[in-house]
This record gives sequence, C-alpha cells and structure tokens, in this order.
Amino acid sequence: MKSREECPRQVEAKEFEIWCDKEADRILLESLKSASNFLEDIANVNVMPSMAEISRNPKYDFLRQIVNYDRADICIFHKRKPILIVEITEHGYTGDNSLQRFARIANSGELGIPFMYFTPFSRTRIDEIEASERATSKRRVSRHLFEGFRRIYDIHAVPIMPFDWIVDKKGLPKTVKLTARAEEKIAIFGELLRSIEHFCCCHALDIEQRKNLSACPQVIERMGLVDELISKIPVRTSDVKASNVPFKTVVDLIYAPEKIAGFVGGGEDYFFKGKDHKLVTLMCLQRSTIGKVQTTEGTMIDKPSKKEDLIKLLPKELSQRESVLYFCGYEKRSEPNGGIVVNLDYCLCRTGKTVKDRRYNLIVIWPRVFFDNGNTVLKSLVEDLKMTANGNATVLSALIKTKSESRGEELSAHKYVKFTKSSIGFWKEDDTIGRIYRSFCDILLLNDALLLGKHWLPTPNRKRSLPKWFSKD
Amino acid sequence: MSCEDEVSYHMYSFFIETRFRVLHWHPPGGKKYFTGHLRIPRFSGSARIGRYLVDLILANNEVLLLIECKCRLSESSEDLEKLRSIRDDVGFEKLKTLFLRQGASVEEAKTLMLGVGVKYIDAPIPHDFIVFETKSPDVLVTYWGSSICEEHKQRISEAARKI
Repeated sequence: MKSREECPRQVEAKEFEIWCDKEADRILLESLKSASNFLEDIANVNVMPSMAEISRNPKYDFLRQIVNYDRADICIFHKRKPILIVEITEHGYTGDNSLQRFARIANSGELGIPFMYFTPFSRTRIDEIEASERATSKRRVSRHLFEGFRRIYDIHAVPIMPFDWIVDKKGLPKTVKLTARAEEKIAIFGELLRSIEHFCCCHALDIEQRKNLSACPQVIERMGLVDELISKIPVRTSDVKASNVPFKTVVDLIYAPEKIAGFVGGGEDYFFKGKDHKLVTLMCLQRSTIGKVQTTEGTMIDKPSKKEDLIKLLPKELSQRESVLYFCGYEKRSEPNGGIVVNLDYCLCRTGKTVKDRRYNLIVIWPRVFFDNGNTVLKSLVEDLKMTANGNATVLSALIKTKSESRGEELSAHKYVKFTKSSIGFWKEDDTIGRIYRSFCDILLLNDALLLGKHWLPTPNRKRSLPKWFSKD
Repeated sequence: MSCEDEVSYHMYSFFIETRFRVLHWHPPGGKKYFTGHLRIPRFSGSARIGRYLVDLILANNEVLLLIECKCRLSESSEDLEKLRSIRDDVGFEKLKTLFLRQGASVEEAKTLMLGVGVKYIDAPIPHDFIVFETKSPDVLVTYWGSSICEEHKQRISEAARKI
C-alpha cells in the first residue's frame, strides 16, 4: 500500500473555512487546534445559522444543499465549496438507533462530498449501566450502518469513512478536558485529525472536480475497514422491516390497514411488548381507513373502490416490483426513523444514483399521522387518548389492561399513556421526517391517505437556483 | 454565541480550572465532547418515565453540585424545580449510586447542593440555591441562597477557587 505522503498537497490550511452545527462543535474544534497544525491555521470557524435562516437568506446559499435533510456536525469548505463533512457522535449502539444520522450521510454521498463518521464501534449502553451494579457488555454498532457506507461508495464513488472513538474501561467513549494537553487529545482524535488534514490539503481540488478518490491509500484503508466491520458484525432481524413483499399484498393492506397490525413483527404480540406507546399505534391502526390517494399529477382523490383501479392509478413500475416495508410506529419523531428509511433504500432497494433506480419499492407505513387534520377518526382518537389519560374506560385502556394481564403487573393508563401533542399528528410537507420520507419512499401510507414519493410527482415550479458548485452530473 | 451557550461555556471553563471535578457538561444543543455523560432516571412509582438532564455536575471530596444554566435568573424557574425534584425524589444516596455505576468518582461527597449559572440576575436568589453570575470564563460572582449554611458556603468557596 502506498504511504500517505504519496498524495501531493493541493491546498494550504488557511484557505479553508469551517461551519459547525452547534456552538459545542465549534468549541471542540477550537480546542483541538492545539493538537492539529492544520486546524490551527484555519481562522474561520463558524456556527451555522438556523435552518430557517439558511433557507431564506441568499448569503447562506452555499450551505443549503449540505443541510438538505438534517445537519452534520462539521462541514469544511474551500472557497465556499464543500470539501468534507465530519460527524462526531458518542451514540454507537446496536439496532436501528445507529442509523439515525444516515440521511445526512447519504446526502453527502449524493453531493459528491466525502464523509467521516467518528463513533465508538462498540460501547456500553448507559441505561444498562444505570440499571445494575454488574458489569455490562459492549454493544456493536449495527452492521447496516457500514453496509450503507459501502453502498453509497459503490453507487456514488464517494468515500464514507468510519473512525473508531476509543472507549474507557466501562466501555464509555473517552473524553478530554477542554484544557487537556495536546497529547491527550491526539490519543483520541489524532487519527481523525490527520485524515481531515489529508483530505482537505491533498484532495480539495479533486473533490471540487468530482474526481474519483478510489486510488487514495486512505480511502482504500477506510473502505477496507468498512468491509471488515460488515464481515464481523452479525445480522439482526427487525420487527418493523419486511422485504420481498409482493405488491398484491401491499394493495391488500391498503384496503384493510387494520391487518397491518398482524403483519408487523410477526403479529399483534409486537404491540404488547416493550414501549407502551406502541398501544397508541395499535389503536390508530385498528381504526385506520385509507380513503384518499395521491395521483402522479399530485392531486388527492378518493381511493377507487376496486383494487385493480388503484393499481392502474399508481405508477406502473410499482406493481412490477416487490416491496420493502418499513413500519414507523412513532408520530413525528425523525430519529432514528428518517435514517432507517434512507439506509433501507441504499442497502436493499437502490441500484443506481437516483431513487428511481430501484429493484424494490420502498414503502413506509405511518399510522399515527393523518393527511386530513379535520378527519373525524383523528378527532376521536385524540379524544380517546385524553379520556384514557384521565382514567376513563376507552379502547386504549382496554389494550393497556390486556398488556397488564400478559405482564402480570398492573399498568396504570394514567401513568403509561400521557396525552401529548406528539402522540397523534397530521401531515406537514416541510417537517424533516416528512421531507425525508417523501424524498426516499415510493409510497407513504398515512392513517387516512396514500402519498407518493416526490420522484413520482410533477416537479414544483417554486424551484430555487442551486449554488454554483452544485451540479448533478 | 447565544446567551445560554455563553453562560454554559463560561461555567464549564471556569470550573475546570478549580478544585472541583467536572463530571458532566451538557451544553445547549446536547453535544457532550468534554466530559462523561451522567444520566438520572426519572420514576413515577416503580415505572420509569424518562430522564432528568442536568447541564453541569461537579464534585469534590465534600460536595456534589448540580447546576442548570440559563441566560436570566428569571427564566430558570422550571430548571430550579427540576433540580429540586432530583434532590427530593431521587435523593443524594441514590444519586451517588447512579453516578458511581456510570463511572463518576463521587464516593467521598457528603452533601448535595444545587446551583444555577446565569448572565443576568433579574429575580430574587432562591433560598436553597447558589447562583453563579458569569462575567467571563475566568470570573464568576457567587450569590448564596438564604438557607445555605456557612459551612457549605465555605466548602464551596474553597473548591471553586482557581488552581
């Protein structure tokens, strides 16, 4: 393998500027200057304004595409062109929680910007440490995260590079004081800092020109690590994902959404295990009727009474492919749901650079969200929730009673199901999670409506100009 | 930098230069790069209903100090209630157990104190709190609640002295 020095330097450190998500990110970078000559030479380290300010103020146009779905921690620019994005997260964890940042990673790949992901590859869970005096074992980050890195690299030829955040004896990520000596900071962040310098100084112009970086020894090394992690981490099954679903089954579920409850996690038991809010989801499913359907013209019409007519109404590609289903039992919570869906797209569905290049449809089922905020079922569900929280006998309190009996302990409805504004909601086009679902899914099944992914809809007229550096080649 | 960001940063920067150990710093926005992350489960009866998030947790051999940060003292009433709930509902011994499990060295702390860091003091000092007025990363002015005894004042003043 070639040594790092074989990539010649193209740009000096002082030519870069950095934009951070939060003030704490900026403080971290300022503190790491003592451990990195490269960072020390960058005078311009800023904090990004709010999403609203970025979208309304033309002076932030250069940031707009970077925050297309959500915001990464650190974005490095050369002459206002993004060169590198870095995410630093202590949240390793197994399962779908590891995927919560995947939308911003995919966005980076689609824009042609290398991405560095600094996280503990395995660590202990705080809730397990809290719960017991006994030593707890470390949990590995989900293999699907690294599979997603590999798929983005294969599809877009943009490296998504993992870096291990070392952990202490308890299995918790090691930290250093703001005022720690440079050596202490290098012990944790050194590898990441050296790679940031390498990509910025040796590849800034390559990245601007969308050159393929696959010959760079650092890319070879990091993507090799990705493959190693994929091979080491066992696969886990998920209760909320289903693949190879025939389109006929999807159509059947659209006409009988209450049957989705038996389809998720192998049956209704799923709703009676674990988190209590699942019972709210079950209640929503039991009373779901999908009455409206979006056409490819973007209009909402009544769902045809015959299934064949619905199939004719939808894009024909959908009925020619099997589907991957993701069941979102939450209301508007974007993490980890947005990232999971984008990861599913890349790992299972996607065959090319755009969402239309797919071998499987991607369908999200989202029963706690309504399209029509005046829907009478929505009103009655909210009423039911309020009455349950006040201790009245309701559909939901009956479900809680069933769960209490199966667990052998009394679960108080008042204690377990609080009425909150985030329990049941209605569709808003501009919500982060809504934008992600619309951008990556073929079909979105709300409680009362079927929406199409935006790639099946006419392009809106209110398109804003893209920054000069951005071109879809 | 927002006012609350500034207060949080100044509080952390000040206390890492003192005899206190900064066990936990949770700046606005939730990024925790410089300390461990101590979590306090919240219960209703035997049911766990969430967690308390505290901005800054300090300890030395005498005192365990929980602190919330806000721009103005007048904006901090919810935070004061939260810290009082931790003190009264979780309790000092249980807190120590929880923190020890999470790797924080609090074995020798003998008492629990509550504090709030602010930039502007525009409300009366709560009787059971220490209020830190931040002037810069190097300067804090301390105001004592009326029910804090002289012994505790002395212990905290000693620990908060710059090394």
